[in-house]
Amino acid sequence: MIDLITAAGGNLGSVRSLLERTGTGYREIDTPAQLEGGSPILIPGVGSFGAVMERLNTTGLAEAIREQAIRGRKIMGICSGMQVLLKESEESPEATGLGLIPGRVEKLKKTPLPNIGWSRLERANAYVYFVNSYHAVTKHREDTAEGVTAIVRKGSITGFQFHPEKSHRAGEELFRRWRDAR
Amino acid sequence: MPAKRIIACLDVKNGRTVKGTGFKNLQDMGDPEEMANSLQEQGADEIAFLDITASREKRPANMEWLRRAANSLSIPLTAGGGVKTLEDASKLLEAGADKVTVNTQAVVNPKLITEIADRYGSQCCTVAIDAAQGKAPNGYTVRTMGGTLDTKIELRNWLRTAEAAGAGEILLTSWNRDGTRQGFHIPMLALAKGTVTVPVIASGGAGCSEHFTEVFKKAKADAALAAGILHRGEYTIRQIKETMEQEGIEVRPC
Repeated sequence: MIDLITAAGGNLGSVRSLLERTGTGYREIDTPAQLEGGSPILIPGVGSFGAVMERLNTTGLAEAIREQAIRGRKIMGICSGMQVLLKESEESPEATGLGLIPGRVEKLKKTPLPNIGWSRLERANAYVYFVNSYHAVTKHREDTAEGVTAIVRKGSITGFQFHPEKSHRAGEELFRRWRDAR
Repeated sequence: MPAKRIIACLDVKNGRTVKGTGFKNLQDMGDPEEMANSLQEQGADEIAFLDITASREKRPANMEWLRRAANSLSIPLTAGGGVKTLEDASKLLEAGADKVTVNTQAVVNPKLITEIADRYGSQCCTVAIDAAQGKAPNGYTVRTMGGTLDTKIELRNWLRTAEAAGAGEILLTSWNRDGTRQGFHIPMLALAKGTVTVPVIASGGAGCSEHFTEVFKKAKADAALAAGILHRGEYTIRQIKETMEQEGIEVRPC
């Protein structure tokens, strides 16, 4: 069972479809009280760092997720939902992120921008789909060949900058591996 | 840079996939959802649905077939056709599209691009442009209403305006080459790549797999649209990607 945070936006239809395709049961969460229990938390997100944090703050979920993280609960963020795992972003300087992974989110220094398309992950030997103009700069990261942060990971906290829900079978496989890891 | 993308494009009319020459003589090609899934399995990097007659018929794109297709796909999906307002774009995105294309109405009102980009992020807003060769060698003019109206707007000016307004990608179709199988319009696409920093998707004129190699090498396009070449059964995505790979272009394997 997965606790799917619906309050942070994102293409929820695609994320639900990923959960269904991978045979993953889930509950949709939009209030802190629903976070009781120990299921891994999945935070998809779309839009700016500030917009995602605003939705998480307004619903009280930001604080609840931080508390769960301290207790060691398994948490995954996707795209903007991954970027808010860090504390700050050049995209929204006024906003404070969840701060679960040290480092900050910076604008990519490359063209063309936005970074749109399929890049290869060396360790997984798989192509996955990215759509981003910002990325996490942290030592807890795994990059694509051209230095775009693909995965951040620290303890029980994981973030995918790419979209597993849009990455066909490679996305399903990487999601399953995260889901099944202890 | 990410792997060069092959975007399988399905022109849709009344919920059926169609293909014609120069936007005319449309032939029925099959069911959109079924075709999109088959193209995904063949190795398409993305699917684009364009409801090509929506603008001329002054109606928004129909949603039902889009919803069905979006639910069954696990690769990115772009949808467009007749998007006139932010609400039209929202409907396509809410039906499951990851990006929308705007064309005619964006020329009439470039603020539409900004509204979509502000609400959903610029990566969700692809500006589709149909352009035709003008009289000067490097002169191209923008056409709207499914290619039927020559706006006389110079392509470069429109590219700059669209990018400044918040376009996340440009989908540039050669009105002269579309459906001809003579190859992509390399000089026009190279000009677009030199004008904007957002990704440029090449469209119109692909007739063989070498045409894709050419547009990536010579015009430096970021992605290319494949429509008739796939639907006529002449080439598969695998064949196109194999040719690209042999020429040293990075592709996502099928």
